Amino acid sequence: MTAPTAPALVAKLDAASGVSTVLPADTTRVAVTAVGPIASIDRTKAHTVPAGAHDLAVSFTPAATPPRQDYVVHVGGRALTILVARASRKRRTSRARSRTRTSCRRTRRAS
Amino acid sequence: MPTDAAGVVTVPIGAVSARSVDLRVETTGLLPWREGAYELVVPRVPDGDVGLTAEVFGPGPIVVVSSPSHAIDAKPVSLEHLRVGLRDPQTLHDADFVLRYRVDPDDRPGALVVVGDGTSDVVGIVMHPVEDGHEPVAVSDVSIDWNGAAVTQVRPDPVGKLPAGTPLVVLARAQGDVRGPVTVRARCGREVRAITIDATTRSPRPTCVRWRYSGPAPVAATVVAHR
Repeated sequence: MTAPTAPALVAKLDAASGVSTVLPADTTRVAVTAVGPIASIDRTKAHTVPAGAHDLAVSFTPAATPPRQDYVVHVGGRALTILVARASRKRRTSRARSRTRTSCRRTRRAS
Repeated sequence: MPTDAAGVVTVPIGAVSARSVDLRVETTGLLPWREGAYELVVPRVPDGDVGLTAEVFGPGPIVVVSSPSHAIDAKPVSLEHLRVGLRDPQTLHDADFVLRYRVDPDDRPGALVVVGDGTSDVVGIVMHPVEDGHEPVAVSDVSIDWNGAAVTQVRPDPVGKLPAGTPLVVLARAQGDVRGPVTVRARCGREVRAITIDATTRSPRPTCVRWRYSGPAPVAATVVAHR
């Protein structure tokens, strides 16, 4: 199994320009669990964010296969589920719909 | 949802004033069976300090473990459980990590894995590819005798055919105990085999089984901000 193009943390470090920058990871810890043919890859990337408040985002490229790939992003006590459907594989564009829901997962508040 | 011309999706998470932010990405999936072994690929990590551990559970005795891409250290925790690490984790900067491991299906064809999932359990039949003289063979007309266990929402149902070298993974929701054994019947050529999957095993790290059954997605990302 190869993971799809990995979600990355991006930040608008310069609010005036509005340009997003991919934050490099200081450390990456990869934990793999495999039970026969079922595998789970858990990758935790730690980032240092420059001082101050910055707009953060998670950026990723939906995989070509399977044609539909869903993602869940947990921030604080909320979970954002992103349902991704490819409008056209040829053009490599995608449409995304999202819905929010309350997460039971206990995470620290992000902001 | 903002999407650029290259198809990159960007999900805003708001203003964060923390100095340290973790991004956790969980990916689950089924591994291919290649040349008699499961093959796992972990994408390379381009930068930063890297650590990697892999916990591999058969089910059944793991008879071969190797990596064509990296030097590894494999420590047996038990016959059915290996802990694998990279001899030099920083080599994950350079190339995807490929791990191959084989469980002899003649020794143990598979296992029944039960995972607590709130009010009920998720039960999974994990069966290695069917072989004939160490050669994988296709099977058809697959049916399952759950031995009286009350299971619902079986996925997939029916199983139908399995191409040669394809493991069988059937997940279901269980009401009450599933003690096993269960019997998988499958046609291999002219022969019908009855394969017994032994008594329930509680996998030590079964999260991936539950996630595969009821998770909304094969990939989840979690952001945690540290002050």
